Amino acid sequence: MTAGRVTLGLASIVSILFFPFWTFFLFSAALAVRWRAWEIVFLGLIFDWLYVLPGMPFFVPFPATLTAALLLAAFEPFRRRLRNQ
Amino acid sequence: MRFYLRTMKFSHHKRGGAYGARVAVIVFLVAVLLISADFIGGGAVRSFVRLGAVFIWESAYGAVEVFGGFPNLRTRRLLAEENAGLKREIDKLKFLFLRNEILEKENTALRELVGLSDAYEGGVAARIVSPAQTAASGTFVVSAGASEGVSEGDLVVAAHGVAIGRIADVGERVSSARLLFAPNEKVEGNVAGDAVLISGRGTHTGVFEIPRGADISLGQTVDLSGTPFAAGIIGRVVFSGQDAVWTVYVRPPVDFGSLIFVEIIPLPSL
Repeated sequence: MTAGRVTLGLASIVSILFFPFWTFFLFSAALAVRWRAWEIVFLGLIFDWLYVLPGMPFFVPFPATLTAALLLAAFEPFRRRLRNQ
Repeated sequence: MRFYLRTMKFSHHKRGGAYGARVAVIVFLVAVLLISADFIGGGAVRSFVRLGAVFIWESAYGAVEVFGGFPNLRTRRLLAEENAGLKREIDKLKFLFLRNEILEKENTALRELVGLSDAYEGGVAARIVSPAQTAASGTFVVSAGASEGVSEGDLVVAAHGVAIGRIADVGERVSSARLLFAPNEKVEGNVAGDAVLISGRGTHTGVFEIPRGADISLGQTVDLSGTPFAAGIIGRVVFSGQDAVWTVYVRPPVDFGSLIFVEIIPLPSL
């Protein structure tokens, strides 16, 4: 379990730096589906600090951080069902 | 150890909602603390993160450049199985050859930029440290900042006088730039004597409309208004028989994958 989480976490970091932006959200979603992976919020923060600049047409500040937090919250019922199985 | 892990797992599940809520509050507070520290420090944390990323990018691309890409690594491994001694000699020669190639490539890129530096006072040559194709919404990072005199709004120009972006956020040693044709960006251009407003579409493509019958052709240069630089070339023209306007797609004649150096031209010098 831990190995999978660490691997996906590392993949998220690498995807922020080297792959198209949507791959980060893909890996974050994969983490959020299985684990309560709080680290994706901080990875989202790094993403925002690296790529989101003032004046960009987003409706909210820190869009990647908020998306990561929303992913965590959205998958909470699913994770609970997984645990109870 | 296994028992301990199992116990941890059990207790974690037992604690359920209250535990999750506590962790959520802690994560939220830490995130707010980091954002506040960055805000109070005038972007200090952000700069630190960017410098870290630049270090990783430079290390990674340096390693790939020295070894000439992953396919060559595989070839070398096969050679090693056949003849270890011969492989060492080949590696040595290959390394020297690749190094020479890299230096030659950098030299050519820098020579092309020398012309721009001479023509525009205050121009700063910088290296692109982030891969432009991976950047979200057309953002990329260059290795020059306030300490080199870079300021917000400066033009980022590739060799042969093709403007590719504008500086959007300036750090001490690195700056972030937005591609001219990043999504939702608007750029004033000039083609065949007509002023046009080019809208960024992302993936290095811009689009504008021009009255039907305008004197344009595929491959024609579209200039960036108010500057002596080109914004791109016409790649596609879309129209139907009834339309009063033609929709024109424009893209910069630059291979972003192999772009190493750019010139940052301050606006007052134009």
